[in-house]
Amino acid sequence: MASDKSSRTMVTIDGNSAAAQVAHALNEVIAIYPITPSSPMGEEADELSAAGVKNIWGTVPDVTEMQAESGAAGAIHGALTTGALATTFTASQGLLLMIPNMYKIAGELLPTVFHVSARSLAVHALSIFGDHSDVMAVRQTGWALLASGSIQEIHDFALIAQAATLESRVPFVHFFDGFRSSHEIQKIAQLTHEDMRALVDDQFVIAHRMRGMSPDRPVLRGTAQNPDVYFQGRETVNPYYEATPVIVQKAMDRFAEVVGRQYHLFDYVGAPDAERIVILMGSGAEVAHELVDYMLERGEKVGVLKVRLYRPFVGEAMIAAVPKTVKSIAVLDRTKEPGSLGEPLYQDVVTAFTEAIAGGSWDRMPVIVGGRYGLGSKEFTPAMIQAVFDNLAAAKPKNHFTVGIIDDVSHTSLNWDDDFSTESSGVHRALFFGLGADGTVGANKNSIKIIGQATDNYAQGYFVYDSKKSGARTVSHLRFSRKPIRSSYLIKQAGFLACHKFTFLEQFDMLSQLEPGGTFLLNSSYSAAEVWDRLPREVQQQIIDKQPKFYVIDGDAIAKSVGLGGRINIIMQAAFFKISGVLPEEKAMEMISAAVEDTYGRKGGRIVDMNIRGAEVAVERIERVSYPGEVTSTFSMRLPVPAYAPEFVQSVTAEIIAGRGDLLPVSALPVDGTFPMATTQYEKRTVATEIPVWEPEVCIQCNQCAYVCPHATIRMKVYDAESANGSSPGTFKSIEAKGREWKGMKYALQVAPEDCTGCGVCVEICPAYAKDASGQKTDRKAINMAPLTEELRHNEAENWDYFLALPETDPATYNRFTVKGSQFIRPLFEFSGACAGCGETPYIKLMSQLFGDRAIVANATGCSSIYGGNLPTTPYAVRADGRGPAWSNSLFEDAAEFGLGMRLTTDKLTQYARELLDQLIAQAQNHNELLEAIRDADQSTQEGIEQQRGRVAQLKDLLEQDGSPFAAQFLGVADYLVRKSVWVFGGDGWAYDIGYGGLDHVLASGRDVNVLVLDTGVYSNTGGQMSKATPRGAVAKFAAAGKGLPKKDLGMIAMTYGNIYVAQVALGANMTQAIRAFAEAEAYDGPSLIIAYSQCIAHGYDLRHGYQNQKDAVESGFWPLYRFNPDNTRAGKQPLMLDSKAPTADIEGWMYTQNRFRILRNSDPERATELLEMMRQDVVTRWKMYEQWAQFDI
Amino acid sequence: MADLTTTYMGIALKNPLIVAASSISNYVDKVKRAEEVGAGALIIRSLFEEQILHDEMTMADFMERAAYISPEIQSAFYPPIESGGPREHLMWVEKARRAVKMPIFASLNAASPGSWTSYARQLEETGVAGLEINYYVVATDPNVSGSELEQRLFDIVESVAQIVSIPVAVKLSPYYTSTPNIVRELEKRGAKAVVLFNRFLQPDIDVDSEALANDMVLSAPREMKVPLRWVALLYGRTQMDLALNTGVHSGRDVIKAILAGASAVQVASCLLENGLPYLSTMLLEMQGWMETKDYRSLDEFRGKLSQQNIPDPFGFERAQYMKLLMSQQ
Repeated sequence: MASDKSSRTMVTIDGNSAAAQVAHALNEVIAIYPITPSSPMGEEADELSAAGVKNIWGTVPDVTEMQAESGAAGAIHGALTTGALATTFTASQGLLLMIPNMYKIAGELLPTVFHVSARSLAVHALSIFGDHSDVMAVRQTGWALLASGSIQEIHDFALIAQAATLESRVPFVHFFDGFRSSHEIQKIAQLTHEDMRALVDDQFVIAHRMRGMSPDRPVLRGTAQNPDVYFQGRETVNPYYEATPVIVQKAMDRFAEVVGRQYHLFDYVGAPDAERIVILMGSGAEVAHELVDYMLERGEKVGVLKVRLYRPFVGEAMIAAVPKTVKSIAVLDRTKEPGSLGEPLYQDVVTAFTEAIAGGSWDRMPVIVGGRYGLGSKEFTPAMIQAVFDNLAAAKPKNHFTVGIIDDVSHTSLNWDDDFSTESSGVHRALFFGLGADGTVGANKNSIKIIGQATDNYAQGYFVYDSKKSGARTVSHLRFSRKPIRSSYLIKQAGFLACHKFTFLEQFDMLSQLEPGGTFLLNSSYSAAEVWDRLPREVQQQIIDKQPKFYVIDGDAIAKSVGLGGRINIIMQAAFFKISGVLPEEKAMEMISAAVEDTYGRKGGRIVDMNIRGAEVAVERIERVSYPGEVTSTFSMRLPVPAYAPEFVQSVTAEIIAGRGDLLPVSALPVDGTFPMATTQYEKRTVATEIPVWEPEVCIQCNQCAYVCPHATIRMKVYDAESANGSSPGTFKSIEAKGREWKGMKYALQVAPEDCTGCGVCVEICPAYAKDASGQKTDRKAINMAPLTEELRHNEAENWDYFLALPETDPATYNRFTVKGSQFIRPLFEFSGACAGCGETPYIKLMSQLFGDRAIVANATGCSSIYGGNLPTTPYAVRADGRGPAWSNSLFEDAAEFGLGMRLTTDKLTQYARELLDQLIAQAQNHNELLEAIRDADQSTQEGIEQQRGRVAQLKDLLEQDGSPFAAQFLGVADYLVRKSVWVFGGDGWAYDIGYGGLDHVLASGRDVNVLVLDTGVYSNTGGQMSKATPRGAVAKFAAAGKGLPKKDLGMIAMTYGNIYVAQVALGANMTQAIRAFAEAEAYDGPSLIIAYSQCIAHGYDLRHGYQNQKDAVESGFWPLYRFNPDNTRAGKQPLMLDSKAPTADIEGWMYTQNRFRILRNSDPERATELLEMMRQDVVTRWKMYEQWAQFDI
Repeated sequence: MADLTTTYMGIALKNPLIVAASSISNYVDKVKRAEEVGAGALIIRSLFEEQILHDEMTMADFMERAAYISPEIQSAFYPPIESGGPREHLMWVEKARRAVKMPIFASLNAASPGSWTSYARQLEETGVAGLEINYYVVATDPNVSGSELEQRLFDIVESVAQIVSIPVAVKLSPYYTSTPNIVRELEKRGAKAVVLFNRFLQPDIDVDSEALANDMVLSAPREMKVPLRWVALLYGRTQMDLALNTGVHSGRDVIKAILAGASAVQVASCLLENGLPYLSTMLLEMQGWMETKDYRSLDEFRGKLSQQNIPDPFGFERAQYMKLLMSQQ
């Protein structure tokens, strides 16, 4: 990175922002679709347009959200072909979905730049993280590929690419590493509109316009060609590809003239007489640059060649950039191409050298080896590149190696020295461990910005999150330096370490990341005098060993005392400024005030005062801890999983939980992405600060609390009193079970204290109130939240274990299709990482209880696939006999088709099994009774299914004894003689948008597939983008002005087919209706669609009140409850049954308890009122339509 | 039929009954209904600056809390939308004003000096007939004297009266040491009316939950005595109009206020208690009384029992108090 020769504004932004700002300034039409990690680019473009920011030609770009990336690419193709300057942003599967159009766009020489935050592809598993697999999958499309390695480069190359595409007419993919670059914050020099004007020649813009299709000068494009001319037509473009590299270099040179930073197609850094070099692209090249600088200082003859323009790949330019002295070369690819001769960049380099030697421009073949690194954002450090250089120094360097992992299977990996570091002492390194919701990340972003703006320091920030949405842990990695920072890797040793959540000390070994003599800041309710004995032994030992300056501050108490509630961010930020030494102390307070003003200035004096007061108190109350020279603590850090966990969980899952997943060797991982079930039960996260506590005497035993619990942490059992005799823990509670069928038996309700997220939904739903002495109703319920003290946790954990050991409630004593009965069934979906109060998970849990033992689930990508299948632990569980939901996630767009495929298998293999059964019956001499019973079994009830399982088990025994080829064949499919239940889960982004075409087809197929749409009305998992399910009037990303159009009525569309079972449910508004819908949908011999109202944190209110919100949604008419059962038609009855009444409440009440609507009322009340009126009309119109249909005499 | 018309701050009202700033103005339909049942004017509930700030803070807090929860959600759920500040309130004021023919007044409770004038200007732009300043401080700082607090009020009134061209009324606290002095000073600074008095919500204590209770308690008729006395005392001593507020629960109460010298009377509690149509009952009651007494207009008896016009001018002063005390013994 060269320095900026002018006085351009220095801004502290991330890579996505660096790309989006330029893309917005240089385009007119932007069509996007959200996908991590590229979503923020589209969002920023939309925000800029919403704020009226104009492009360099003085017009505000039009930003449109599409239904899928394929749609975005199609729209861009259309916009380009008609002469607009158009772009999109994407990654991973999104880029794959664009491939068909990318061929078209390149084939038609339409200039554009797609900005791609390069991400892994879904293979054995999905990964949202970064590598080059996606961009490597488009290298053959005819697009130019330009790679950025740093945030400044992203900003610069976005402009260079645009200038080059317009002149060359070859479309460009401009890519950079997902997360590592897209989400890394750096201080960079911001390009001006003048810079952009200087680079982008308007003559090419006009030429593009003139080529645009218009009825005023019509042409025809998109012909179909025959064998006679297609080939020649394909070759017409060659001159354009030959010209492109020249044009790119010209743009780079012009950029250097204007801005001062000089780039080349290939940039070499290193010794002019280097003997060993590495070749790579992206952020890894920056790390290599850092290492090479370090090695050069030590006199090593090494270098790095940074590949900028990867396609068209100009071999001559690459060769010209490599020192002639080179003896060995390692080419590093951030992708994997199984079965190839080597990864793509390696092959290109080898070919280039071969051609150079053949052409005489190079003497003899150097040693060239290829290796893979950094897949799925695997750390890529100077130590790893050092290992690559060491490999090159070997007599026979390893080829086709991997670096960054331990490959004990194929032995491809290079060993690296984990202690090797190039980190310089001139860099301040700080690590912060915080909670997702405590503002730590926000405060750190703010600190970076402040320091970046107020000092000459360069600043870097990168933020790591865990995979759980409730109680998520964040680790902020901050670097500050007088020199530019190339360290695109995590901080391993920090001079400053802050722990914002005390209990983390027991869970994560963070002190190992503190430099000896560094500074350790702990948010602690214990004073400096008290804190020492509250630390685990391991922490004490490390403190003694490393002798840090150890400080405590009671951030929570200070926040509370100055009126900041639970927001400790400003306090911890002030503490950081005070003691970190990043700035002189006198400057610290100034910085704090600047931080407060920056964050809250607009909100008025009192809020600023409150925060400044918080900061002042923080600075006063930091206490230095003096500690003894020996360990005194009586307790140790917690084990990541209990000692009784299964072997795989102990050896693999526990390591991932403990943060040591990077050290797991290849052999530890399954070969095909198949994982064991029910592992969340071993990850005792203990994220709640308060949990529900049961009062048996008040309880009416309705089981509603368990029904609505999003995390399956409340369960109940009715059991024979004798089971509890003598052995129950002292605080275990039970009471006489209500109901004649349970006379003399006990009812126990138990909370899992370490799995509960403390959302309070159970307490809100509880209908039973305690009465006072005078018989008056009190506020106390049968279940009440209580602070999770260590004592409560300990007692209830013990009780939970005891409860699990109690026998299950006898299924013969309850009806499983009732609210109460369903909750005696063990949930086969438990303790997921979903948000506290999640509205989706209770539906999934209900399905798992009713049908989990025979269910196969196809899950669309989204929240439900993340809390359903994100490592380290997964929530789908099995019942005692080992049966449970088989679950898989294919893609975002194809869940319905994926599920249909499962149905097709089930139908086919069931048919085959029955054919074999018939053959067997025809031939059998004995066991005919059993075989015929299997053939004729009634499996319409759970009892019938369990009986059939018994019979099939007998059959399998017989088949095993038989041992014939026929028996072996039959054994493989015999389980299909028991009914299976095929389910498709997905959110509204899938069902209404990207997966709608497939969903429609599957629903129209007539096959018995049950579809559950978890409708939050927004793309929840990617951060709240508008979908076609977003209600009118709600604000979402891409609907900053409030969505103007009504929510698509998916249920109505499905009902028009006539043969699809459709139900709209809201579990909290009518519990019985929901369970009935699940029962009917599953029983219906054909496609079923359940659309489930799911509250979400994106709606903007305390989800504790989620079920009240559901009731309001139904009463206001926003969410009418209904079931449409085609079986009724056959019985001569009307299929549509309305399960809720005509709207009784004004929809305004429902809307304005939610921030997603309120924010519009506040910012644009006129429009909000207009949309409110339309909403009122919508609900009335829709209700009348339903009502008429329901009353229609068939 | 007796003529009930009056003028308040130079604005003609068809009768002296003004619907006070209250939840009645939350709905345009209710504002319309108030006009239908005969209200002379209506004051829209206050624009509270602190409420706006609080709402902004709550929203910002929500946005930040939900902003950093997973690698895929590293920004707030909503695009960064600039808070509209008072826009929503202004829209409602304007909407209410457009919906009726009777004069609509706005009420303002700002927190910082600059906001008083900027919000006042914005309220004026909604087309309201006048502005009521709802100045409410609970003096908790022992370092701030009463005169300092009074000076703040004067400064606010002066700055607001200067910046707007519509008439400005001041809704006063009953707790000033010298109400007549305050009134005179306000008049000097351009106020056109004083409203006697603001009725502040006082927190209660719930002994069962051992927590503060902030229940909305409606006024009782007996509460009218304090404002009645002050209207009677001030009538004729100021050019400003006097509006009586608090405890007016019947047409006869309105008559009392006029007899004491009020130009107008503000009502809310009795309407919240009995429904808006009760307003017409009050008007009928007034008509009946006036006809019985053979008054044709309010001016004929306005201020008749003010301090200046009664035979015993000390009746509203301390002597009366002594007499009452004596009689109790």
